[in-house]
Amino acid sequence: MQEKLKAIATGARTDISMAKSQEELKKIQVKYLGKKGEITAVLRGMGQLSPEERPLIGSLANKIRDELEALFAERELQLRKEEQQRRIAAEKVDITLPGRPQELGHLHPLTTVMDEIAEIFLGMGFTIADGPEVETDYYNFEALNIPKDHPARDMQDSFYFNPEMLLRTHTSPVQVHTMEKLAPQVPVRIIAPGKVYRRDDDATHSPMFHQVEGLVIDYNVSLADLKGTLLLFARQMFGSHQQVRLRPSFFPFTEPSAEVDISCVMCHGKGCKVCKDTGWIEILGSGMVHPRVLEMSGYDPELYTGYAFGMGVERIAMLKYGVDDLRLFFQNDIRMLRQFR
Amino acid sequence: MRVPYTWLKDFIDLDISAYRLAEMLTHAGIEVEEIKTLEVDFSDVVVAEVVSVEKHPEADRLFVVRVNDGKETRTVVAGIDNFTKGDKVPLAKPGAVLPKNVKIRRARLRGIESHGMLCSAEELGLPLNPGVDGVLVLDKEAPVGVALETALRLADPILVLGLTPNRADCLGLIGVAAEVAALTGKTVQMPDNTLNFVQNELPRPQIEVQAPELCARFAALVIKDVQVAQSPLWLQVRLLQAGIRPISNIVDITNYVMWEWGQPLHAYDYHTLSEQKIIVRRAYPNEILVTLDNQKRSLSEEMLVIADAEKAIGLAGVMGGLDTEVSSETKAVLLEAAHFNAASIRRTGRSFGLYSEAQQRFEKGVDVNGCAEALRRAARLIELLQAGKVDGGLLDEYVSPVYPRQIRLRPERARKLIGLEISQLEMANIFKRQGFGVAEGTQLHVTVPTSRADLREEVDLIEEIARIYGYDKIPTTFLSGQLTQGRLTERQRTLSKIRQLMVACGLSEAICYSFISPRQFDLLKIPQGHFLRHTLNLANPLSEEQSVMRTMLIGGLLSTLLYNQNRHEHNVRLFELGAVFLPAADDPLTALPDERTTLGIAMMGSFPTEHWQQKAVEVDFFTVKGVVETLLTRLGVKDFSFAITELPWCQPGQTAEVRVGDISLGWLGRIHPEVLDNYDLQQPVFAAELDLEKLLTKTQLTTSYTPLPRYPAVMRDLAVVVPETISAAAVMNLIREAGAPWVENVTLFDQYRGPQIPENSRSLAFSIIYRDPSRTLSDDAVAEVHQKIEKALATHLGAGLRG
Repeated sequence: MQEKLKAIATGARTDISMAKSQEELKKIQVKYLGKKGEITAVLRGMGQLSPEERPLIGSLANKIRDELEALFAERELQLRKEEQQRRIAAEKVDITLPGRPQELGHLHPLTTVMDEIAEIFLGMGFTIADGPEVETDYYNFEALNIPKDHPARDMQDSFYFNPEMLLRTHTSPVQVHTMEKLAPQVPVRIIAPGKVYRRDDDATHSPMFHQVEGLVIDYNVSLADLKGTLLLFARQMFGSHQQVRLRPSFFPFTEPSAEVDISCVMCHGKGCKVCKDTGWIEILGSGMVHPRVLEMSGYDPELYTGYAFGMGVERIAMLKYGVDDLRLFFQNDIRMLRQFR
Repeated sequence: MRVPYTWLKDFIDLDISAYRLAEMLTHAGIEVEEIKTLEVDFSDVVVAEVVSVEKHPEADRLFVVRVNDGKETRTVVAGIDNFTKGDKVPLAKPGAVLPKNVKIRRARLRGIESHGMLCSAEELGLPLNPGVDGVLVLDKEAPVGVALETALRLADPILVLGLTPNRADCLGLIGVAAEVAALTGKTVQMPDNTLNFVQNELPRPQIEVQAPELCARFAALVIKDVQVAQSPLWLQVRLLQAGIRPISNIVDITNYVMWEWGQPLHAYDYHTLSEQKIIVRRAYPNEILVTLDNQKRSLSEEMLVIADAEKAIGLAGVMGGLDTEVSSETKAVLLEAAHFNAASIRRTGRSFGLYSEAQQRFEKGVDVNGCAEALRRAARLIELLQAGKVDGGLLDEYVSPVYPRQIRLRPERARKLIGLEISQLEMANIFKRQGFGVAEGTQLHVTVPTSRADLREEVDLIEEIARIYGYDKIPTTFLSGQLTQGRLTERQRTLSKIRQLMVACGLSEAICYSFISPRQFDLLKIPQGHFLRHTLNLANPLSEEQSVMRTMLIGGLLSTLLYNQNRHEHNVRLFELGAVFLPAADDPLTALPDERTTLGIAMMGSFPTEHWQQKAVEVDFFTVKGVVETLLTRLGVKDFSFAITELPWCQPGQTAEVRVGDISLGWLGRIHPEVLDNYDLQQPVFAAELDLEKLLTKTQLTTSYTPLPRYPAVMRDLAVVVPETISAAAVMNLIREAGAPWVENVTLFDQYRGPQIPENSRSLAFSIIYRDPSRTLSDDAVAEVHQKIEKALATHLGAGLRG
């Protein structure tokens, strides 16, 4: 009996080690340890053994069963690992094949630039105001100290609907709307982005374009503050190396007035084609709000001072992205739009 | 304004380069746009002196000329002899190149070798000595042997100023010199305008200003013994540098003095003036005047004219009349220096499309106190150039005198506004350097000359201080004062979110012009009288294509799709967020229009882009509907629905109105094939347009959290056969209604038409999720509700179960 058991054990060990798959192993397990398995049969046949033999054979059979169970478990783990390895090998892909595209759209570059400008000024405590694109002569001109027949009206050739109604030529009317709404509260700190229209259409002018207006009114606002605000803006927008230069200019609604140049974003001031070798690029017009403008809209110019500025969004976008033709912004060529992330 | 640098130096002693001066002026707000020179299109032409002139022995029409070119005496053959021994002439040496690429070579002419060519102004491409044929005889002082461009000062720098409209004072060189004086500390030297008046010989003209509101001053001088001739070349060249074509001495001098003083002058042929009368009056209605450019012009009462006893002889400040023009026959002239109303000149000029140099100056503002000075200068030049003699004294009708302004300046106010510590003394010096009077006390009282009409109040003087002191020396400070919160409003955040959602849905943003062609409405098949055709129309559009304000966005988006189609981009999804303009209903002419922020969507082609693993799917009605549904859901809009509708530009059967309750937010649908043909679009286009002003009242950006369910859900499928007339929405609504409150969600997962389904019916398959938030639903309970739903569908919609 002992011999038989040992022979079964030897056969089982060989079978286990030879098993090629988990299924095969399972069959082997049934063959030896199943309800009708060989070891089970031995254990079942214990009754026919002599009382002396019984404990010996019983203990041997149990030992063998324990041993085989351990071997089965070990072999099973081994086979599972091998199987996993095979699967992993089979599932290998060419990782250079293109991924499935998630096709998002693209914001218009002008929107992105306006958002960025807004973000910079929001961070400085400004809020965003807006106003209509169709304006009255009063808001577009009169209230900004540009009476009828003023030569400054030549600076901005306008689209009229009738003598009193026109497409706004700048975002400055929003200054007036804001002041009328808030006067005499201070501080006023707003920017106003939006579309503006001028009767010009050539390589460097579009009849519709975008501006961002800025207005600050408070006690003791100075030209030095304007300079500081714009320097901060320029550095946020174009990089921390930026310098700002103010040049005297003329706008009927500001006095003193200034054109603002930043160091050329292309050559960083060394001189190139973009800055016409000056090292500087004009990006906006600005100045201290004219006392008459303050007064007309309800602020006592003896008590309050303020500054205002207006920048061309297309100009900034062109500089920022290196776009060389203004018209591209309104053609909406999808190949162009796709370039902006 | 062109500032010839050498000419400017007549008035101020400068030892800096034109480039440096340009930089200083630009920094002071007198922008120098560029520094240029006259265009010289020749080379190797020098000044030569005529040594002898003889007839060519072999040819009647040729002359043999010996000239000294500074190095040697050489022989040239000429076709004309409008010069004599001692004259200075331009010699093009062999090897010289003249305009139109004419190359000069040594040549033998009828047996005599010509070592070069004597040139006329025309051959040199110079508009000098107009009307004079022959070789260009140079001024006596021209240095022999020197390059012609140097001798004529053609290569001298010209500063081109881009003046702001307030600086009319710099429309004359003397004004520019005053500005330079303020910047450099040098003094202005005024040009010679001394004049000895003599007793008049000719009858004195009578001047009568009948329209004093339009003419503040009319000054005049009579010049007798006039000899009309060419001006000396130096003067002609200066005019060319200024951008004015030389004509003849008298006219040239009026222009020359205008350039110096900024005061326009006009010369009338004295003997053509009827009764030697000058009347400044408004034109009679439909009065006719033939102007210098030989145009017959019909005038109106708003226009100011200069007239003699009979008729108008000039459009005041804009253009003279042909009848009184100075000609070679002129024996005496009346020189005018007047001051006219800027607005009137502006309107008159505009109405005729004229923009003369004189007119530009009057529009921008001329110093009324400069009239007499400029006249004296012109008379002085006329005498110096021997073009005539002054006859009698100055005639001067100075109707409304203007006096220098005195302006109070509070130094502290200046410091505060500029943000700069600058002493009172320094402020005073800035004004004194410009020749302003300054009375100092605790405040400054500055007397501003009338030439600086831009300085009217204290703040103007403050700018003057900052400007001359230098903007670059102003410190940089940041805002102080009360803190403010920078934040987007709810509306601004929602609009920004809409853009982001569109991008997330795969759409790219377009920005189209707000003005469109009225033809767009025809392309979109919008019938006459439709409210969208009620547009706001531009009175002065650039073109018909951009002449009316848009009332919808779809037109621009379709054009944009076409633009892309023409560039072989066939898969394009676009959105635009912008205003449409609806004229005010009650008062469309004077009331501002209703500007409504609108979202437009248009798409064509297949998406996603072809990929090795998956096929692209063509966009259809449900693509655009999905975008709209996503948008509304993500904006927190509740209970939106879609109702079938018809629109002129959409294909019937694939057009829906987007609604929230009773409010229509807009539409979505398939663009009508005829519209596609009109636009030449080759693929189906699906589009939508939503009125964001309405939508924004329905959005809810803040979310309130609903606790997650604690009990499991049960899912059951349900397939029903319904007549085609029953909409999917109706079936889904009934499922929700009949299954309330246990139906949590209904999803349509299949639509089927086919053999097993009766005609004019379809099968719709739903998966329904049942849940009771307070307990686990039993199978029996679910079965009960499910049956209730089936029954309701059968009863109300005639739906049959599909087994």
